Amino acid sequence: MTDIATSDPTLITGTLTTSPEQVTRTRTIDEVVAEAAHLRSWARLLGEDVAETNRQMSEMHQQAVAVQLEAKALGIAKQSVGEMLNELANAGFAWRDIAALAGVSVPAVRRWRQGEAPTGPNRLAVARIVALMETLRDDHLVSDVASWMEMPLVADASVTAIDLAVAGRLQEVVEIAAGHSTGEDVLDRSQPGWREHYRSDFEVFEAPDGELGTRPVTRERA
Amino acid sequence: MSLETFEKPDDLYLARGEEVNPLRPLFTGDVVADVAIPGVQDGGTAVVVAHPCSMRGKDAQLEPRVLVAAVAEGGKIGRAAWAGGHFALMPLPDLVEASKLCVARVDDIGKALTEQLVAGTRVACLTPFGVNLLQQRFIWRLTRHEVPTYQLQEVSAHVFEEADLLEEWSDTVCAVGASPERAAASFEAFVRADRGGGNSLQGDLRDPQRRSTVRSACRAEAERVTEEFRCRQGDP
Repeated sequence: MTDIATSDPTLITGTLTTSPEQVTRTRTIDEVVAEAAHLRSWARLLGEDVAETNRQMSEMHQQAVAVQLEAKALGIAKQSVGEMLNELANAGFAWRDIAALAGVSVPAVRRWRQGEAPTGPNRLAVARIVALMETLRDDHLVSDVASWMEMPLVADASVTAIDLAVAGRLQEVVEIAAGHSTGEDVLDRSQPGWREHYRSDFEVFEAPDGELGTRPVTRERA
Repeated sequence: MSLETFEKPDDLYLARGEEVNPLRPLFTGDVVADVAIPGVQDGGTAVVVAHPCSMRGKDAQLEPRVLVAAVAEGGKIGRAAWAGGHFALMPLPDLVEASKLCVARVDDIGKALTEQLVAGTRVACLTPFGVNLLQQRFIWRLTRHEVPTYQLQEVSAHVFEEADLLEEWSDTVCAVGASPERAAASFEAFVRADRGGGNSLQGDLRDPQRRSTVRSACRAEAERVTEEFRCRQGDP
């Protein structure tokens, strides 16, 4: 067995002996391989531990955010539904989106605006939207929350934070705003295959009459 | 090839029956009763299939005639069957009655009189998804080209938005006695006004990131117009 040259960066001095004389010897390649394999396994296990801890912390964080949003919503629900709807309208939300987020029809929201009282669960549903909006604005400094929620989560797909929230994934909306997750992370988790689903060879463009249209993406324009 | 389909009937309808707001402007996907379609039917139900941009001319006035398709009872076709067949039809489940299927026959089309559509009873208005699905099936039937509904949405989102804003504006302004025509005229003037550099709120609606600002501006202006109208009426 050939010793490794002393200039070799894999040289480890004195780590294999407990002798008080601090005997230094060059380790054999077999020892280096075994040690490297051990370190690799150790790093992998450490990585798995970190990933698992991260997963558990994410889960705990999401649960905590859900509890926080619910507590906030219960407080907000003390307001009249008219006040809550006004707050959302002033923030620039579309009634169509408010209806979808509350899980009701657009005409139902219209009736509430005109004074009809919603059911208790629906009143709480509206309060949850306000709670989400206030959390994004006040805790995560999102400017113009309605506009932010209408922004595509990733460049190549039309999924927005509104879509996530309509699907009940409010915590993930908060996670994205907080910078703990990206739109890609969330779509990978919630909609596997989204890249293929939204892949398109067509693009939207302004036609000569001034209106929008679609056309194939050509190599020159791509 | 697989066209899209609905999860539940509610996905297709913005409003049905008495829920339809008479102040909502006539729009693609509106289902109207008692409509004559030349060469197709003397009366009966029809759905507007014209694109929102092609049914209005200058100053947003409706063209004298609008392209529609006949609507009829549809028998029994399961939800899953729509993805790969029945391409001459657009499903309209629970349109007038629960668990009863109606269909738009996209081959039976013609230009109906706009005044008949406006004066007729609107049975339903479709959601943006419903309109996009109608267009997807129509395009496939005519060209065998499959266009995803999300892409149709990208092209039409700003006109859906404008229709919603006009409906909301009219709700606000007509509540103090203004006529729907006057409300529509004041809305058009406001959103089309040049705000410098050839920009207008109507143009801003094309940018999804500016829509919330346009909504806020329209809501504030509708309140101002309402207040002005109320003062002129002598209402304290």
